[in-house]
Amino acid sequence: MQILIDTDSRKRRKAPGLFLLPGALLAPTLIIVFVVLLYPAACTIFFSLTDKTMADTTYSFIGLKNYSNLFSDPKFWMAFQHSIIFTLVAGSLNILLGFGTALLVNRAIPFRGLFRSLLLIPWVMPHIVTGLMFRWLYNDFYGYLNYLLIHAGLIEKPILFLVDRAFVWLAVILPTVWYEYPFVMLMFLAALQSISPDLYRAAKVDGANAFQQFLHITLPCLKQAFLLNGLLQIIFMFKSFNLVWILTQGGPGDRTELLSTLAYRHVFEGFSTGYGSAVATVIFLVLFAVSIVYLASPAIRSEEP
Amino acid sequence: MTSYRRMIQILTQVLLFCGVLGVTVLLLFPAIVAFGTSFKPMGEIFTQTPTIFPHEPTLAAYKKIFCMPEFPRFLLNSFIISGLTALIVIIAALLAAYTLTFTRFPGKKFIRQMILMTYMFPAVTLVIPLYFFAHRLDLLDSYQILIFADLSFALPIAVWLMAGYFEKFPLELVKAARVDGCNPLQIIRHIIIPVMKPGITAAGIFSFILAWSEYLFSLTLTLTDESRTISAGMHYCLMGNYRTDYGLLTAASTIIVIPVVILFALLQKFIVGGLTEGSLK
Amino acid sequence: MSELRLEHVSKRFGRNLVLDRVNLDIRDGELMVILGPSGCGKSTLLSIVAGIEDLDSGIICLNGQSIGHLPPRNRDMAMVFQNHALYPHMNVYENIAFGLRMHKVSAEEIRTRVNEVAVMLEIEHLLKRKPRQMSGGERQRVAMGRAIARHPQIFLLDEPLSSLDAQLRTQIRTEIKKLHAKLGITMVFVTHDQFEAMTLSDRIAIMDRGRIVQVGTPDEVYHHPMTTFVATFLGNPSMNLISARYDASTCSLHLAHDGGTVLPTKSTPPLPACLIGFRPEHVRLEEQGDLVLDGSVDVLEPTGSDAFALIDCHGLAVKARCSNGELSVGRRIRLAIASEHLHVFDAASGNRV
Repeated sequence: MQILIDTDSRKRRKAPGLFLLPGALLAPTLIIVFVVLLYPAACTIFFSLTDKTMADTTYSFIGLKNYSNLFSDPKFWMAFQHSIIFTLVAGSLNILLGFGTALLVNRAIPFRGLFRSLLLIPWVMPHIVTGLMFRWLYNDFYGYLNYLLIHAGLIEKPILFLVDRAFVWLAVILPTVWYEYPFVMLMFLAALQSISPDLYRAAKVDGANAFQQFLHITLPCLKQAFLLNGLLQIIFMFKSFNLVWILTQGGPGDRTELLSTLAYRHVFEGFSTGYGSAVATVIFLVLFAVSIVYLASPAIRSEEP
Repeated sequence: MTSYRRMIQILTQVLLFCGVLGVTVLLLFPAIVAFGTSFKPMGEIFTQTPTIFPHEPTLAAYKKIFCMPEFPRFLLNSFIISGLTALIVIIAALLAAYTLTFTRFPGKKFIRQMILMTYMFPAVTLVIPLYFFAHRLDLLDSYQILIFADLSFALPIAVWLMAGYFEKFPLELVKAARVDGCNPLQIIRHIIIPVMKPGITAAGIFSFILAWSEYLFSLTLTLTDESRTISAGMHYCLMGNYRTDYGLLTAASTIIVIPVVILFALLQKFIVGGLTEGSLK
Repeated sequence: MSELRLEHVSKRFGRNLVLDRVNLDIRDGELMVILGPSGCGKSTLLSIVAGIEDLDSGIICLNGQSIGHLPPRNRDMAMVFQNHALYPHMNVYENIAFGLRMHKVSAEEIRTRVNEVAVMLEIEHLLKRKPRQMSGGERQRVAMGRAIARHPQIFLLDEPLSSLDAQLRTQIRTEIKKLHAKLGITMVFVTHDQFEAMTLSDRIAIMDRGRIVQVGTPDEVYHHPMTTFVATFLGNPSMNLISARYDASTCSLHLAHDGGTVLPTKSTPPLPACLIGFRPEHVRLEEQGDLVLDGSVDVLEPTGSDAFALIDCHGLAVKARCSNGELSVGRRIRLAIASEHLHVFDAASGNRV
């Protein structure tokens, strides 16, 4: 009995100290995360329930009206469709190219380190540089792309990549893959290097050839990496904005309009903040839902510690 | 027989090397031609048969850039904003990563995951309210608001990187320092910072690179050239008045990209290691 | 004077009770070894004494004053870690001086003390070296020096020898014992190695699953184990334990495997189910004894001068020590154990009867 009382009093005395130190050291980060991430995100959700405009400081709560307008707006559905297609196509290409380059520079070749560094360059280039560079490469008179295509005999007259409705998606996805594949490559490289060489030795002893080793060791060991890269690509591509905005601003017409450009346009050009916020909230909610489903799925969970 | 097999081996190696070389050149082609073009005189740029490297190299485009009043201003703005962002990020992330790695308290795992999950927040979602705050607080077109906005992506990734490095830091050293009489700030100052200097620098540099490349916030939250960073600056100049000056475009690109590539190459080992380490466990 | 007293010290990690009401008295100048298998909580106990871990409940007293709530810097203790924990960015001098600097010792005093321990541990020539430029033994010595220079009241050592190779381990073990005799300081030494514990300690505290099960001199714990855990944990090969049933009417024990062999006993177990324990070295190859068993040799493990034999006694495996060459596999023999070497334990609780 004596001991029990002692225990309780000590616990009570200690409780504040338990949070004091971590609290003090975490405070700067937590405050920043709150001010620049959580609070703004909450505000956007709140704005989406109001009739706020760019100019007005007074606005009123209108419930889900923005959303009901949104869901009956064909432009929204088209942008949604564009976003999904863009995510799937660009994301898959990123994973394919990233995986391929990772396999290449994982082999023992001279100057391997240099090649790895070089292949990472597109990733560290600012998007504005990438975007403007590709605009120039697409140019109908002085662009390299048209020049090369004409000289290869593939086309007869220059293609207006950013204007031609048939080619504009290609023109947007190409630089997107160009800047994003190195990140995927990095993730796959790390995963490839974490596979124990003993597994390959064991497979060789068991008589597996190079292709069989790839099929029965490399691919199964990369399952986690594929799942993770899949999730990250869905997130990054679905919310991507910069390249499309720099290259086409959603055009020509609304041919390359994504949810992100639609939201931006409504808030900063169309001046209907509430409506634009609703679009931004939809992006956020979709990503949130995808992440939850992904992280809760047995495939990911099974191998977590 | 053995020499035949050896031949095959060497041949495979050579083919593989050529393959990697080919893929690298192909992928870097846009960057290579841009770099080459930045040294071309006007006449070579605007020709129907473009070349990769200039026949008569010239620094004309670079001279022109530095004679434009805006461009040095953009560079300075970017430098100050990215530098201060990196500084704040290093301090905050260091304290946070220390706490998240070496202390035990309820809710730690939740906070760690929450910081990581913020990576999912679309920038478009954040920029809307940030614009209105800045407007209300009269911070539009200021360094402060851009630094704040940049923290939204730079800080979580830096905490993530540093926490990853610290996990490999021997716990016994922290214990020894505590027995030697250090408080947490002394442990960070005397033990963690000196031992983890490369990792901490790498996280800081990475924040700098991210802030240096940032586009959307700078585009939205600035009004004049006074505080515009290089990304927004290029957006306005090269999509506006200087739309077709490709010499200017490629030279500016080179100036912006070169420091980033050098910084990244120097610390690549740490940045790449830290980024991929925790995520693939 | 430096006496350490632990009362009802408990610690939980999540749902896991790591320390369960630990009581321990450590006397002034004593070398106390805390011995136990990995995961028994011995290192956690040491961390709690040092103040690196908080305790959930209980009292820690140094010279009669409660120190359980103090941060490590105010406890006046020094610690040597398993992997030495030398600061990699500091040279040996700075490593030894660091704790003193943190305790605001004057620069002059620091110099004197560092030189003093450097001479004592014969590491003067290493003072300018960084940890990575030294061998394991040298690092170990610097780690010791770092602790000694603090002039602590209590000296804590957490498995300091386990990262060394076998030969060095013996050497440093002797040095620690010498050092303890010379400094006369109170030491708490944590290890999982029974040989280290036996050779070093004044007294041993044996831990099992968060509790201290027995405290005593090496002889006491070896020859008079209080539980079956202590009995089997100490000694290599470990003690033989055989099941028996106590018959209260005749005051005797019946061996469970054949029921035949009867052994009179003075002790009175609480329950009929008992365990009889005896050490391999106490098994003699004789016809006569208090406990006699018949069997045949199953396996022989020569170790040089001696050999250990695994003997099958009608389904009961008994380990015995004999001289090398005395036995051969398959031979039928008779074993005898004197009653003073028999230990009786209650089968349910494992406690000595």
